[in-house]
Amino acid sequence: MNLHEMLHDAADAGVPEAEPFAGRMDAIRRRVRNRRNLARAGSSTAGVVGIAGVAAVGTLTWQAARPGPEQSPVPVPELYACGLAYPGVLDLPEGQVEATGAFGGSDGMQVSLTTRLENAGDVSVTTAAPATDVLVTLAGTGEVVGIGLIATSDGTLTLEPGGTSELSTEATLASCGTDAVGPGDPLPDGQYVLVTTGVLTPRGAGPASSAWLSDGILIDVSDGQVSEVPNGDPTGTPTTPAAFAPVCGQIIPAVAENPLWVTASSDVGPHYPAHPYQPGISGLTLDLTIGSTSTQEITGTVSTDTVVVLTDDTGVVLSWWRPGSEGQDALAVAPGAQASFPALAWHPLIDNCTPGAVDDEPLPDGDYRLFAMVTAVVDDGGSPTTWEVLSPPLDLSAASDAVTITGGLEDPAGADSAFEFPWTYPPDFPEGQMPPMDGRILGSSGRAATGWTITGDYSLHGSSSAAVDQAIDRLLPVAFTLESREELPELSGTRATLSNGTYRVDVEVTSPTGGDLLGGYTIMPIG
Amino acid sequence: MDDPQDALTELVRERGAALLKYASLLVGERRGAEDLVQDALVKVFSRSRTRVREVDNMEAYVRRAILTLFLDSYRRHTRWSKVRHLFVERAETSGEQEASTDRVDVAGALRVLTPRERACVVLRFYLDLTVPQIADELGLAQGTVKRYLSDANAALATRLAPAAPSTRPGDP
Repeated sequence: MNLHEMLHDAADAGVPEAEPFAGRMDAIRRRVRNRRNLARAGSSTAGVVGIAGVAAVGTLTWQAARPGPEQSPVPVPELYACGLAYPGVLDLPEGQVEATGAFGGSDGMQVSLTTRLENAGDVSVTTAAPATDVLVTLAGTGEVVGIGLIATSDGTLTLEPGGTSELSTEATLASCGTDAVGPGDPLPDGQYVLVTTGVLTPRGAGPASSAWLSDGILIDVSDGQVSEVPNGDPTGTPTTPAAFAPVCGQIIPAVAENPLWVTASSDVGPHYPAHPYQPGISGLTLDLTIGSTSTQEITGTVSTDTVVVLTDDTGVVLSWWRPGSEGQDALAVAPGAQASFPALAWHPLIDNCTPGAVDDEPLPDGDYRLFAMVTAVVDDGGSPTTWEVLSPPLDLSAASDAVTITGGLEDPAGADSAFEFPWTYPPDFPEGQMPPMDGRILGSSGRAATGWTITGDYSLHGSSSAAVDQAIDRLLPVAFTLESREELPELSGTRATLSNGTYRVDVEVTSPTGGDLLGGYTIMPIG
Repeated sequence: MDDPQDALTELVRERGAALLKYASLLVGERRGAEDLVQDALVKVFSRSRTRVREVDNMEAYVRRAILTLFLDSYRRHTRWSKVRHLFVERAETSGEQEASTDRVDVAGALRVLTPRERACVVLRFYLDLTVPQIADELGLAQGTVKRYLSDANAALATRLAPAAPSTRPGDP
């Protein structure tokens, strides 16, 4: 037996089935669809929902039975259904109407739904038409995490006993709000179940009002686009929406504070756009280094589903990539140590944000900033805790399809100290009491007797106001009180002062025309 | 077959086994090969520019994607968790899996090769490509392919000899 025969024998014996992927077609199709949606990022900005749209929501089923004055427009914080669980969200008993939902199409966050109603009872009933109420729930748990904002609700539909009819509903899906997105914002990436509801009013003398509730439609949300998951099981495994969800044309999302830090590195290049059918190295592969500022060892796993985001120099997302991988790597970082993860992140170096851009369109010539976001699930006293970690940026330059790294790489010789990471606080700095805003830290100085200064480039926030807003948001939870906040028209910047009785913190970020957002904290001891 | 999803279904149904056999020789084990084939299918069929005229060549595209992923992203992204089983004794190996001594020897022998050597061997002795075709497929010089094959042959010979002369009928 020669090698040719042995290879064929080994291959045949290793794969004896005629159709080894017979049971996996749904999973493969789902991955294809998710990836296609991801590549179709260009129109994501169409998914932005104006809060004003809430004003047009019709009478919500769960509001109908609630006491209190009518709210018009409905403020976002009073989205009563949010956080409740489907089907218990209904305050009214379910009536004798069977409702079957169907997905009719989408444009960004706007969806078209059709609900087929069949009156299985013996009493004529009416319900609102054409609009119904739309709930966005998490698969498996039924928790309401969003609603459908419906433009009009001014008609009625009568269902005779045994009769059927269809309702067509156009709704714009909006989130109830999470750590990453605000109430009324587009849904973050993830899979959800849509259900429609309505109030049934009996005609003439009859039983009290009741409600109908459709079966669920499993949808997938990826970068501002909604698509139906065919043959999906709305009652299946609980799903959790991705918290870090970049949206083309918007400022890169921030991540919550945690003890981990990550840096990205690669060779300077040039690197070239990936082509799906061309073998060989292409795209930009990044090695990641993860470290910890904790005084205890951190163990857990790191997801291989690393997100790489390219922005302009103000933090506006120009292209991003999530591989859709489900792999995990072991993570173990001792205090002060770091762990290397070669080739944990990758970006195809293509333009998938510009509306109308086709796949494999190279990045337009220009300068970019690259961020890598990794998700770690750490063991926190026996219960797993998920941390998202965003790297400081690498500076990229694209010219004639070739992309080179022009800054941000760690310099062993320390020649470019502005890009050094991790940067360290002064020895007596009250670390932990002064959580910094997200940005590229350029340096720090000072001591307890005289106060400290932290300077940085906060361009990823997009505006000085946004940067100072985040600083305030970080300091208020650690016992600081906002004393003053002002815009600085002459400097085109923003300033705020906070104190906690021990320290006074001046936050100031300037935004000179065409320049970076520079600024930071000046911390003075009180007394 | 106007719909790429239909093409995907047909390709997987009719050629899934062949693609998995090819991938299993590259990867060296079944589960990783399944992941590799699925990754390649997703990569090829998720391209929104997939056109009908390309559907007939989808198997070739997927084979190429398998090779690309194996040599590039897949190989470099492979984590310890995916390969550690290659470095430990598999005491639970079933009798069925051990049914063919030759197959086990081939799989074990292939694992000692570098990814590029293994790719060259599989392309040469399983897909029956010529050296120029392999060079074109891998983007390598023909001399480099010959060197990989020579080194691979030497490594395989020590593990498989005398059972498997690597020459094929018609080879020079």
